[in-house]
Amino acid sequence: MRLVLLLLALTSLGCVTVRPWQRERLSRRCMEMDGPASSASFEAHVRAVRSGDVPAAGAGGGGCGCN
Amino acid sequence: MQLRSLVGLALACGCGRAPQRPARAELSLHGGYYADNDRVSVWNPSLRARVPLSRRVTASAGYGLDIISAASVDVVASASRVLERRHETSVGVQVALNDRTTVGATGRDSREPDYLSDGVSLTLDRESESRDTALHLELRGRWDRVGPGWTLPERATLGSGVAAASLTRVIDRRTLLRVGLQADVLSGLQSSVYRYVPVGDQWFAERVPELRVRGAATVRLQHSLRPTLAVLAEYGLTTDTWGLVAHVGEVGLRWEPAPWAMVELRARAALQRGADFYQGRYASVTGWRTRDRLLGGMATLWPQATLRFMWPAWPAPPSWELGLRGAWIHQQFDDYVPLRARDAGTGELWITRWF
Repeated sequence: MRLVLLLLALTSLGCVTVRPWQRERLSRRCMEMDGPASSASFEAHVRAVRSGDVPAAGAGGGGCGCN
Repeated sequence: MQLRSLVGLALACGCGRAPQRPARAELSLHGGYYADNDRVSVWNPSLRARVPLSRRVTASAGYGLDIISAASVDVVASASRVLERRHETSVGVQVALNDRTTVGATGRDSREPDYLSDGVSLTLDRESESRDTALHLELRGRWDRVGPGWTLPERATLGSGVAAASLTRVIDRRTLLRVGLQADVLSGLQSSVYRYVPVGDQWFAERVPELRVRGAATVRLQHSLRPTLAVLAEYGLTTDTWGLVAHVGEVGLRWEPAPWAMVELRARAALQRGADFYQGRYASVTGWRTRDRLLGGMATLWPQATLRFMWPAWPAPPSWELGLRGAWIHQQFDDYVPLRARDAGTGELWITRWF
């Protein structure tokens, strides 16, 4: 619960109102939050079958040569 | 003309997500390759498509194939190589309820000889009126059938549910922040159906608890240093009821050397404390037992480099993208004797066309 409150506080601290016409920097391609979907999916699958913090079973199927 | 495009982009831009434009059809081909020093290699070609059906409704579909060749030391008592194929298909639909809210549903099916998985996910995306905050909510459920295998003569089941939320916020003219929370529950067979564990002088089938509850939190910050240069940093903490705790940190840099090109360098480092029941030696056959190195203590270093070429050049929305990525994954295992370190390499090539 404390973690949730901390994360919510983080999102609201230090924010200023940025008008749409002031967002040129944020609209650049180098500021995209998410990369290409197909590549993100491949990376997520490799991560799921090669680390313990993401349950390998959570990757949906093996596909890892390890089961 | 360029100024008008720029203002249009800036007006539409919300929280660093892709600017909202009339939906376009999209076709993407992706090829991935993984190989490591544990004699595992995987080819992964995949195809994705998105088609707008109306102003509000978009349909999507995807197909991916894993061709796996493995003779891992994890698989005890087998000297032969295993060649296996996994087919994954997905179909989905996204509906824009208004210009700030989108809901989606996706179904997914994964098939390989000893593992079948079906799942569904529901999503909600909503932006604030000022478009400086974006909320993403996701619910996922999955039903897996595992085996049969060496230690399991008949098929067993595994069910899982995931709830995830993330909030992305414009902090100032140059900075974006995203926080995410996720909770997973897995219930059912999670032991490998091929892995044996030494107890005394004998080997017994792996057994791990059938219930696993996991929580994860991430914080990500992106900052624009110059119009064509941005840095990012992310930290994630994961903990679960098996006693596993993982800290994951990531730093990265993105540079646009030309309006049609982008270079990205990223490095991820992870430190993991193993599950409570992970041991090298067990005194008796009662209780949980595993020699799955992913459940032990380990450290991971994962640097990667990406090149993306997009045409036409920014600020116009791209019609073509060609991407290349290479990564190296180094893992050091605390207690896993057969293989104390694993080194892997991945390579990716993708091409996307928007219509």
